Parts: sequence; structure tokens; C-alpha cells
Amino acid sequence: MSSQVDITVTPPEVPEISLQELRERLKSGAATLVDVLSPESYATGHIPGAVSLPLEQVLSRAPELLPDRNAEIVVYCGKFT
Amino acid sequence: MGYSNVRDYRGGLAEWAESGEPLETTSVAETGTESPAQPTVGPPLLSEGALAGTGSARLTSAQRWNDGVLDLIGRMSTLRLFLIWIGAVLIASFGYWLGAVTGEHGLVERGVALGGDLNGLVEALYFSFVTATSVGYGDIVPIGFARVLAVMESVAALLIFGAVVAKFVSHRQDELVREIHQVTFDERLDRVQSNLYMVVSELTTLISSCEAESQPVQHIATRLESAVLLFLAELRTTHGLLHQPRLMVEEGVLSSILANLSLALEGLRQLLACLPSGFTRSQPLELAISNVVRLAEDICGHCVPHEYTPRLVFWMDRIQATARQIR
Repeated sequence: MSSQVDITVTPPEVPEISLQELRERLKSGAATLVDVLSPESYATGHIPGAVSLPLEQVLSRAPELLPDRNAEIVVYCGKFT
Repeated sequence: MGYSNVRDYRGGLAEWAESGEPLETTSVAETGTESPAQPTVGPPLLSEGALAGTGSARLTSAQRWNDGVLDLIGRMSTLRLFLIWIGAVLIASFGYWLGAVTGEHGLVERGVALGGDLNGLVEALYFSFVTATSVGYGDIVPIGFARVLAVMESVAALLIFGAVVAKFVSHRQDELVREIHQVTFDERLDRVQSNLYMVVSELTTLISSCEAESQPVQHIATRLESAVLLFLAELRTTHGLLHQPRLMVEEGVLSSILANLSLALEGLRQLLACLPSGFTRSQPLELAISNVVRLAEDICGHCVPHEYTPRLVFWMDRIQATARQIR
């Protein structure tokens, strides 16, 4: 059984990114990081450099916050209590 | 939405924090990258510079104050708000009466000033209610400072009464929304249960035909692929249920889901062990299985954010153990 999994199977297929890769991306500034949790959660703690874009506002505010459709974007949510 | 290069950081905040990386705690408003409620049409009323300076800070503090008031009203019960309204009316009537005691700042009825006696108090009470309900008959009129009080009272009473009415209306609506959420959620749980049952029975059939070698391996592989994909979808739902619970699940339902999950996982393990060593898995199957294992390993008594009963913890631990065996 191979241990590395990079692709989720359900459509749409969004490739995953590992913690280590994410660190490198952030250091080089290659990717825009998006926090899809609520603004309250964003205020209590978020990954440095992340933009807050709560899920329910994605459709309305994504064009304004992320104008470049070809830029590399990394999204994350919680797994947090 | 047309974004071509999106990636998902599945570890999320939790993994980031656990790895010892720092977290930032600035709120949305403070980062300054966004300001709430930007006008979308028409030219901006203020120049960029004015907005970026003290203007935006004032805007957010006004917003915060607004949110705070709405929050406060939201927490109060309808009855309490109504009692506050009554209280405001009583205090105001006492104010008119005090004004009458001093002589110059009380109420006047048909040209005669009302006194500070008991009759004056009753009349003040009457006037206060007429003002608070914004009826304003005009049979009694305020003079001097009582006018200021009357204006303030009618504004405040109108606002509070508005909140009472709004609460009456929204209460029923909130209840309905909650009900609809619960029904949808229950239906989804039903679907999870029946799908898991199908996965388990399919896997059982496959195991027996694999052991009897009654079907070509390729047939088994195709049916396995379909079953695993269904399994993965329901496993993902359950995983979300355990890690980000939004609605309460009955213990019996959750227990049955977890038991079926554990059975399906055990079936998957047996079937994989039974398949001949020369059998190569297709790429989708390989991916689906490794995703199943990864998600299942994430389910155990102490790795979910909530405390569960020993029965549920038992099933969760078993799911994790079986997943480790498959890996």
C-alpha cells in the first residue's frame, strides 16, 4: 500500500498539499493562503499570511480577494475544536 | 469558479498548530486587507486615503457597537425586552411627576398644570403610555423639561417596541430553520447508514466469491472499486461528523454507523488479503483505498475533539486498528 496520497477522489478534484510543502510555498511567497473558517475563528488564530474568506462568502467575495485566477491558491479549514 | 491552481491543505489549522508553527491572531478588520461592506456600484464617497486612515477604524468600531447591540437584544428574551419597555415607560412617568412637583416642568391639562399629588402621578402615567405608544392624543401636553423627556421617551420606546415585535416574528422563523436543518441532517444520516449496509453486504459477497474463486478477478476488482468509492464518500461524511460536529447525533445512530464502518473496513481488509498477489490495482482503486485508510486512521477515541461514550470509543479505536492493518 502506497503511503503518499495527493488526490482526493470525489469531484471536483482538488490536489492536496502537505505541511512541509506548504511551509516552502509560504516562505517563497509562491502561493496565496486562504482561510475558509469564520471571521471569529480567523481572529482567534490563523496561519500567518492567510487571507480570510469564509466559505459562505466564497461566491460573493472571491473575485475581489483573489483576482488572479491562475495564481496558486492553498485553502484550509479547521480540524480544530 | 475558474480558479485553475487551487490546492487543499487537509491538515488544516490543527496540524499547523501541532507542528509547532505560530498562529496569528489579528482579526479580519485589523489586517486592513479588507474593509467590511465595500460599495460595489458607483464611485466611492471618500478618497482612498481617507478610508485607509481613521475613517475605516471608525467604521469598524461603529460596526462592532452595532453588532454588540444586536447581540444584546438577541440574547434577551421577548418577555424581558417587553418588561424593559414597561420599565422605561414607568421611569418616564415618574420623571413627569417629578417635573410637576417642581412646578415649571410638568404636564398641563386644558391650561391647568397638574400637581405633584396622587392624581398628578396617575395622569403622568397615562401621558407616559400615550407618548410611548406614539399615540399622542394631545389632551395633556408637557411643558419645560418634560418636553425633552417626552421626545426621548417616544424615541426609546419605539425602538424597544420594534425589537419586541421583531423578536416575536423571528422566533418562529428560527425554530423552522432549525427544524429543517435537523430533518435534512437526519435524512443524510439515514443515507449514510443504508449506504454502509450496502458496502458491507457487497464486500461480503465479494469475499465469498473470491475465496471460492467463482468469479474472474477482474469482475471482483470492478465491483470492489465501486464499493470502495461509495465507502469513501460515507467515511468522509462520518469523519466530518466526528471532527467538526455541528448538529447533535443520537448515540444509537452514531454507534450503528461506526459499527458498520468498522465491519466494512474489516471486509475490505479480508478482501484485499484474499486477492491474488499478481493482481494489480487500478489507479482510482489504489487512490480510493489509500484515502479510506487515511481517513479511517484519523478516527479513534482520543483523536476526535469530543468525548464519547465507551461504546463509541470502542468502535472508533477498532476502525483505526483495522485501517492500520490494511496499510
